[in-house]
Amino acid sequence: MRPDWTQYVRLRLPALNLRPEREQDVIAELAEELGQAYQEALDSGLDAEAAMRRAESRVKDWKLLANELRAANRPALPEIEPPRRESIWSCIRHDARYSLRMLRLNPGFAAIAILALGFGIGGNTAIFTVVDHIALRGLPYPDADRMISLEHTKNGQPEIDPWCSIDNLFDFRQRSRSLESLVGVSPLWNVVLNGNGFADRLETLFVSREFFPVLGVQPAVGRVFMAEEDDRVHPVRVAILSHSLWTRRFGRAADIVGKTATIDGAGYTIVGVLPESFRWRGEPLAGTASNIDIWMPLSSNPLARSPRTLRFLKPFGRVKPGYSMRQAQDEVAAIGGRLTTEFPAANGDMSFAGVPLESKITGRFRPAVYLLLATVGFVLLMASANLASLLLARAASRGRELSIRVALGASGGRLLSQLLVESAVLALFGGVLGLALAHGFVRLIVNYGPPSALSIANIGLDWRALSFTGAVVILTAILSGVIPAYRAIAGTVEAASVRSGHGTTRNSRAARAFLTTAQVAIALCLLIGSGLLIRSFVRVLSIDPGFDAGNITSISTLLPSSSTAEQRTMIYNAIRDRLLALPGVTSVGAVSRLPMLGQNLSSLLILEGRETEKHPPEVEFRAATPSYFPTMGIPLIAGRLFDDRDPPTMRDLIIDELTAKRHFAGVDPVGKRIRFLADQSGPWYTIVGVVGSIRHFGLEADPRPTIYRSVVINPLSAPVLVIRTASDPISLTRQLTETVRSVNAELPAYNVYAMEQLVANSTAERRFLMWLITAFAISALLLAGIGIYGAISQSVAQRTQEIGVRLALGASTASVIKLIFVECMQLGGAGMVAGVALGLIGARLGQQLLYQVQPYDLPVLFGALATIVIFGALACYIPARRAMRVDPVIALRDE
Amino acid sequence: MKPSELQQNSAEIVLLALLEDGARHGYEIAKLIESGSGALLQYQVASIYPMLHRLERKGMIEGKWVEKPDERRRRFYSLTKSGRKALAEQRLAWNEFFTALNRLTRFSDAT
Repeated sequence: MRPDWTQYVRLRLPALNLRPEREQDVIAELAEELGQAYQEALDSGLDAEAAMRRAESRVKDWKLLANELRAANRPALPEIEPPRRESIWSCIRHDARYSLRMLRLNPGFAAIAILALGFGIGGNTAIFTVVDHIALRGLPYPDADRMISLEHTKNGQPEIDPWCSIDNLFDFRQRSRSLESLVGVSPLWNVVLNGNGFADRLETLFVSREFFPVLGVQPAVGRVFMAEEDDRVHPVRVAILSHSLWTRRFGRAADIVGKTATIDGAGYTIVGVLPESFRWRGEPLAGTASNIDIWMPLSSNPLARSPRTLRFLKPFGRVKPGYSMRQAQDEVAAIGGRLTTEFPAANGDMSFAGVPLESKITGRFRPAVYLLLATVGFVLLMASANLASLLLARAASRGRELSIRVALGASGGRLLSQLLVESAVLALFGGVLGLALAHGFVRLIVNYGPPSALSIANIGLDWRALSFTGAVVILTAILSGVIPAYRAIAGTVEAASVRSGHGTTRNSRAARAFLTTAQVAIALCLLIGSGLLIRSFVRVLSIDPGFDAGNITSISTLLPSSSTAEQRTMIYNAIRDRLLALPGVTSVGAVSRLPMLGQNLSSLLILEGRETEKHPPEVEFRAATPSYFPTMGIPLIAGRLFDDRDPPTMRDLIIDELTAKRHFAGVDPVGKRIRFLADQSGPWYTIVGVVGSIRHFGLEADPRPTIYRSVVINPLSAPVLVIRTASDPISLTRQLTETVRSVNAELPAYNVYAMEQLVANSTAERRFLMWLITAFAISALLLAGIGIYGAISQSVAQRTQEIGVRLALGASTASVIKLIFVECMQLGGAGMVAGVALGLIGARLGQQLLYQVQPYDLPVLFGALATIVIFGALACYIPARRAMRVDPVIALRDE
Repeated sequence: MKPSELQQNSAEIVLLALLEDGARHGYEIAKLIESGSGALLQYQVASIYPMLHRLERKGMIEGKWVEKPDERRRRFYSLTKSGRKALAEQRLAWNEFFTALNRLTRFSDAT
């Protein structure tokens, strides 16, 4: 009987897993082969058994054959399309269309991802725009990087930034070989512009004639100063107007040049108008919101012929071509050293240094700027990590789709580009949203931020911000796309060898755990930073300025410079009496320099019996009315105050507590006598009282020793009025100002402030920084929360069966919750360790931004840790509850 | 290199060449190889059918079941147009290869 070869093959050949018809064909073909061999053997005379053996020998290894057949019959991989046939752009277009379709199908995913990215990118663009304007981009002057500022420092008092005397300036100018156009700038000067029946108080700077040429300023109208107009011996009364004053007061009159303006009672010829865009950003304006209305030659300043001991200039110059900044700095130090030895009385305790103008101007903001940039950078990293995490989760659930694409011939590179295009599409949407948000953020910052820092430039989104955003978008796309893409591709390759995708999900879980850890670390670091800043701010707010700012209004005025001492006293008394007559006004005083206004004047003293002391005490000097102290709430500690009936011949002085402590340690200062070094042949003054010390320069600046002289000796020409009212003075402000001007229509009333506002202004930059960092820390916390929630949710979803088994085997729900929380803590623990380390390093780097708070402040550390633990626990709670509700039967049927 | 390894690499051209003159079935092809090479090249079933299937997949040959009177139903393979083209290309390539090999080793002189 002939063997049934078909049956024979069917029994031996392992399943090929081909289409049934094809498998039948293969079996039939092999059977035919064996049958033919058998027949041939029979034909050659062999017996049936030998023929059978001959046929059987045709196939030695059925398993090998099956493998080979399987491989040969698998659908052939289509040739990978060579890139020349499909351009990169059409690939990207295709991928982008595909991504958009995927996003439409997952609107929730798309919304979360785009929102998080938009916030991250928007925050980054806004902060970049602001810090770029105030600190990063160079000064808007030609050769700005070659400009050098001449610094004077008082030995042992680095916090004081003294000015330069005009003699020192001229000596530097004469002796220096590496500097050209050394320019002196006066302090901010208040003048009164009269005319058209009303007085305008204007801010003025007196500058050397080289000032405008050095800065490359071309006047909009007329010309700048000429050499002969800036002559110390024969000054000429000329003035240059700012564009805004020209517009405001002179209606942009084209024939303005040559007109005379009455400034402080004298006639000045207007020679030019500055362009609208010009702003001086150097000293003494840096860090103020001042806008200069009138510019005058330095020589016409009343102090231009003052001695070397009077320091009133901020000098800067340009380094000559052929010299380096370093050489110029060395030369400044050398000349300074000689000036110190040549003029010990004036320069004995000074040191001199050259500092690049740019770093001088923007240096003040640098620590805050770096802190802000680092913070927003971190927030962007977190948003990217969040997106990466979301993409990872999706890649895990899209494992099948990606495997099919690989099976259909997609190369790894093709897959990578698809996934990167996907994250790029998201980043692009995030970027568009981010730009819109950035526009709003910038407006918010400019409107509510400290004007002293933000008023120096017109801050808005520009091409620099746009290119920054572009770079951020690309970076985000890469940052958030690479890990998921890498995991997805590695995953599909693994999946090709392993039937199910468990290996893949385990690895993508590890990648997600890493991302979550990083997010926890960053959030904790930012929380620590914001905590330290908040604590510093609270410390600053709790500082007692030494006076009671509540219900006090300040008004600065300026009496005509031509008025005599008696006239000034009369005018002041008239102002005081009219103010006191107003209902609600309880007391009125006046002082020469008000705290928190940024003006000061210091004096050197000679103490009776200690005339030979090498370093005469330096104190702040103020002239005050008797009622100044009670009005400000400055307490009397010993002795008595001045009296309204004091005659102009009296020689009484009041000192503050700090002066008493520092210079009269162990003795009662009341009754001791003092003389001013500047007036060595002048009278002795007798100390009659000691008052409390005040913080003149801001809440964070320590009080400085201060002495007060009565206004009866020198009636104030520029009194700062302080007015205490029974209630909130806001509603009275207008009435108070009008009352002052009712005494004389030519009297300006400016710097009208609620004293509380002034005190608050001194902390405005700190408050602003604190709010910004805290806002970013909170958003980081939210992002970390989303990250933890996502990671734990995914893990719970993947462990549903395990949880089901545990529950079926009698595990309590409490133990299941414990399981989830342990995983949470594993995720969070490493992040917390890293976050504390990161936070401590950051706090050390930014230590100068802290006030009386250590970088390792324990309450802050524990507070931040507690916040993140509570937040993490909340983020875990929802998935944990879901795990608790797992029905063992359903969970197990899944397998 | 052993003949078996050479055999692996040359299998494609051998199969295509054997089908150049007309359709043949698997058993016949195996026999032709054995006799044509003086039994130096021997193809196992384990390799010849997978090779045929692979060429068929690539579209170089075409398999058809043919039933002739008094004969069993057999699967005949014939060259397709692209198979003919591939054969011509491979002949050229092998020719160049042998010429180069010969120039370097003068192996034809060794016989």
